[in-house]
Amino acid sequence: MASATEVAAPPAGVGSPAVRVLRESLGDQVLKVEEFRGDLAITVARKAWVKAGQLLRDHPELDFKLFLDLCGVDYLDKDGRDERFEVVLHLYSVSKKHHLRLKTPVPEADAKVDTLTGLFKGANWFEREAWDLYGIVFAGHPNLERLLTHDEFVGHPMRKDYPTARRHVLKSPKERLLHVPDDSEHVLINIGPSHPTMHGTFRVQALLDGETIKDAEAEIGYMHRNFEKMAEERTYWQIVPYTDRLNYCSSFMNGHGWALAVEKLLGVPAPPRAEAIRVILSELSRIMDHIIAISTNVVDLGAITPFFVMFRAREDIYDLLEACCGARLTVSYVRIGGVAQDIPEDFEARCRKALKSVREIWDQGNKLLTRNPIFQNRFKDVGVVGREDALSWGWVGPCLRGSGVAYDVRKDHPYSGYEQYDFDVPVGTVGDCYDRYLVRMEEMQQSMRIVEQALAKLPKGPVITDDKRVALPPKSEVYSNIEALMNHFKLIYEGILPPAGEVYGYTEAANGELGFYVVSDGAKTPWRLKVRPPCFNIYQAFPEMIKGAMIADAVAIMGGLNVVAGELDR
Amino acid sequence: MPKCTIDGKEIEVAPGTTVIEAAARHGIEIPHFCWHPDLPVDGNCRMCLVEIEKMPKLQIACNTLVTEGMVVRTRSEKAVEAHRTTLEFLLINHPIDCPVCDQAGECYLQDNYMGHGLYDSKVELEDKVRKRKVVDLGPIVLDAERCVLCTRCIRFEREVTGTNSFELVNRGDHTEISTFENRPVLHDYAGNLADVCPVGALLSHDFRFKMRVWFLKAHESVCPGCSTGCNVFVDERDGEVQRLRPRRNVDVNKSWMCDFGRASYKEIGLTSRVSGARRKGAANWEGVRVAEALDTVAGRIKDAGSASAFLASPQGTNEDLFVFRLLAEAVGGKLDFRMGDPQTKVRVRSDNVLLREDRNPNTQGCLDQGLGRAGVSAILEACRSGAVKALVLQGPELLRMPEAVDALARVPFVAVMATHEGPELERAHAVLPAAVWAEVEGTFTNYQRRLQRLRRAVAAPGDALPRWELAVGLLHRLGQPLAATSAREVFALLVKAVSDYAGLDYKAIGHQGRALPLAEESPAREARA
Repeated sequence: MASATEVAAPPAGVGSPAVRVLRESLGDQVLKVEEFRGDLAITVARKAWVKAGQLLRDHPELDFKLFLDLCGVDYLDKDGRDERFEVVLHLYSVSKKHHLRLKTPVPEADAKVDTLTGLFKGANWFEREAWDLYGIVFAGHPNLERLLTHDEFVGHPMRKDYPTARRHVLKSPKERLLHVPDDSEHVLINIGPSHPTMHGTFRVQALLDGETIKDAEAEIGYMHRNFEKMAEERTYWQIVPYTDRLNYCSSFMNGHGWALAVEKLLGVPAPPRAEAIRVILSELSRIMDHIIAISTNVVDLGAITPFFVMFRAREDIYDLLEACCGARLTVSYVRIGGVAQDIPEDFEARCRKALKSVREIWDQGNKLLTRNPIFQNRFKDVGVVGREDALSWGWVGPCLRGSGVAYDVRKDHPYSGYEQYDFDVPVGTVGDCYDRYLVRMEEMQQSMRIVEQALAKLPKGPVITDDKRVALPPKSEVYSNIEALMNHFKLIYEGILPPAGEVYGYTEAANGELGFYVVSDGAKTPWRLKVRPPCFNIYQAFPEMIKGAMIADAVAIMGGLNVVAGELDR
Repeated sequence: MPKCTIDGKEIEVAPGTTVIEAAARHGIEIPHFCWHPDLPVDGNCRMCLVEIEKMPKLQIACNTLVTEGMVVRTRSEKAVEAHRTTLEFLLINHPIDCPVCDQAGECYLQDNYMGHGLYDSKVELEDKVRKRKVVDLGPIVLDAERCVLCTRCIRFEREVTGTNSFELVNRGDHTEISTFENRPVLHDYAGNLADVCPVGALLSHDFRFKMRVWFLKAHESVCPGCSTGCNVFVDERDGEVQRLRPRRNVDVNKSWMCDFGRASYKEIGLTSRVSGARRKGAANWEGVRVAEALDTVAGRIKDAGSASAFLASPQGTNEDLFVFRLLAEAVGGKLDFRMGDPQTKVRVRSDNVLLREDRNPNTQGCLDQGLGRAGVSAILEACRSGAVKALVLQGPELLRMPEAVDALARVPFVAVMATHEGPELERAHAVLPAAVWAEVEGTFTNYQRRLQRLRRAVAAPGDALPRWELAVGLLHRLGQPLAATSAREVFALLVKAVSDYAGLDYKAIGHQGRALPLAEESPAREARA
């Protein structure tokens, strides 16, 4: 809110090379430059869309090679807009350590924009999703079909005039994902959706020549619950339990990311003790997630023992979470502005004990696997993905680092006080399954290191902001004075009212950069919420990765990608 | 026209405008309790204090006239502190009633606390002064503890209804609002007291504990109770109307509406709604799809040709009336609209506040479209003499008239568009299910010749359709299809046929309506009985 004494801010994008480069090449096709809460957003005209993307990717001063996200937004008949839709692209430059948002307005009457699949491999599924949910056509897309909804779905559910409760029943599932000539001697099989190796419900159809996969196509959306549309009708708080159900293997981390995104939008930080608690629980959740990734992966290969051994560590961490908030899996422990309540008094002692146990279990797991010849045989040089491809797909997290790119949000854009902890970021060299395994194993060690430091430094103080527009007053106050009671009432039925604007909040979740793109129009519910799911980009590469590999390799690769349906399909 | 600056925004206003009015008209919110745009200023709450340059002390915005060059700051440090402390004073004895108070969700105290308070309380619960709670005043329930003594209710009673029901009693901390001897409020505008009270001190008895207001979705519409056409909000949740409340229109109803109009929401969702079409078979009624019923009705109209009569209803929207007129003209049948009560003058008042004697919302619309042609008595005579082979009624009013019974008995086919069941429907041979006012898009023309828009708030039950849509179905079957699939499109055709409405569309009518001149030469004058 501008006051009489505020100095006028400089125009947005001043000093940004991206703005300069685009303006030089595209001139007046750069329609708008906005800066809000540190995010830079550039709007270009539709016909300059691909050119802008290409400049951002290839210009040496910019180098936006990491394809993060692409989505649609429906502005319906909001004032001040001539076009109904907007297509929004998020890119990252690893070398320059910069995020960027590129947008283009798309009219309803001619809802079409050129495809970016020629520039970024990862654009494929994102454009299919935008077509599916918004009805925006991407000209030149190789296979613009529905992705998250089924083929008998009618309408585009994320449009604002599509009623939330309307459903369409699928009468006959799609049998053929791949086109196979009639005289083919190859065998077509389905791997999944109900197959133990498909951790969650994923379906891949593979064309086999013996045991070698000649061609493959994936079908996802089995767990699509349209969380993003639900979010448009929930207050910012009410969205917290939904975030647990994204990557439910490390549910606290999703909430952490969500809270930070909203706090960024609000400009209201959480107090230091809350941030430290978040770091501790996030790192413990990371350990839990990596244990699942590794141990279930090797179960598929026939190694059952590591699973039984390593899952015991998850139980210790679950006990800690349960002590904090009463729940093991879907914790809903985070709050906008902090956490729901303080950790129990004996938390530090219990945590140290748990860490000791986790270390022992890690050692056992390490002994069982890392130098195991069968394991190495199955994992080494299998599923190799090089640097360039990984960035083009939009890989992040352990998968990207396995391919040799040292990008970790905790190091490069520290949040929640990560800058005060000493830890290393393991990076692979080959980009095979073995590297991804090693990265995860080492990350668990580093996570434990962070937890110990956070415990030692844990500051005293409140665990939630004292901003009354954001945090509920204590119950003792609510029951004894009218001011706190009214505060509580307004926050519950109206909730937090952020300023109008948009932010992209991001954290290093277990699978990599988990982003929340939030568009607010000042109302109590977000106008648009797009989750940037790390395993969406990762899994998109899978069909291409397994072409030419054997089925057994496909199995080995799949688990190591750690695709979690809740995050993939939302 | 004095120019002033409020929070850095330059504003030009008419002379005699107060600072709070100037601010409100330009989207600048100044916190207040006792000020109301349609009541005289009192200046007792001291919440709207603002800082005005060259004036050493803060001034109340509600009673300070804008002067040329005035510079006002509503959010300066001093003003913000004043808002906070004033609110704190008002809350000293306020009970912690939010969980049981209907006002939550539309409470000035709650909203002002979030916008201008956000402080910690210093008062212990035991120290608060206790007053009377849940005093039954008839249509209104009084809870004296919640009152902030803004005197809006007193001023309403004094200026609008002239009934003076309320007064302040006791002194100091124990001051309360009260009626004399707790007598109930006995006029027809009691509902406005609940609206006008900024807190939960005066609440509607009918709405008490019914629904939390944050679940409600508000739709703009017009009350169909009389020819005044008070602007209303239809508040519904999940397709069920929970209440009506006035929508401010300075030219029609200010911020008020009468209690009859308020209560009329109950008729919308009654189970006695006609939700399906039916026609009389050999022995009994048979329920049929609307399309089949329209086939039957259209067939009988076609056979009757000009030996048919059409009675429009002043309950219908302009869109309903227009298509009905086209229907009558398609076969050259007789046409009129005056049914039921003898024609009352559209503008005659029932009281000195809002109500008018004509309890129909669109008599003026009927007049404007020239529907008063044959005369109802003439039509009834024609029925008695057997000259009418098909009679189409846009509403069931005629079926209830005792003097029409014999006439109806001589008509071989009577079709009626009906919204509610009743014994009178037995006199018809075909019943078409009609939507009520809250279920349609359309327009009414009120006594001022003001066209006002109705917005659809809830879905009509079962197969019920807007009357214009039923008439379009009949026209189509008579070989004269109408190129209109929405009320907006019907209106576009309507304005071409009614010269006084030329050039209008829904956008021009807007949210507050559009009044047409009441020229004496215009054919659309009040009807003579």
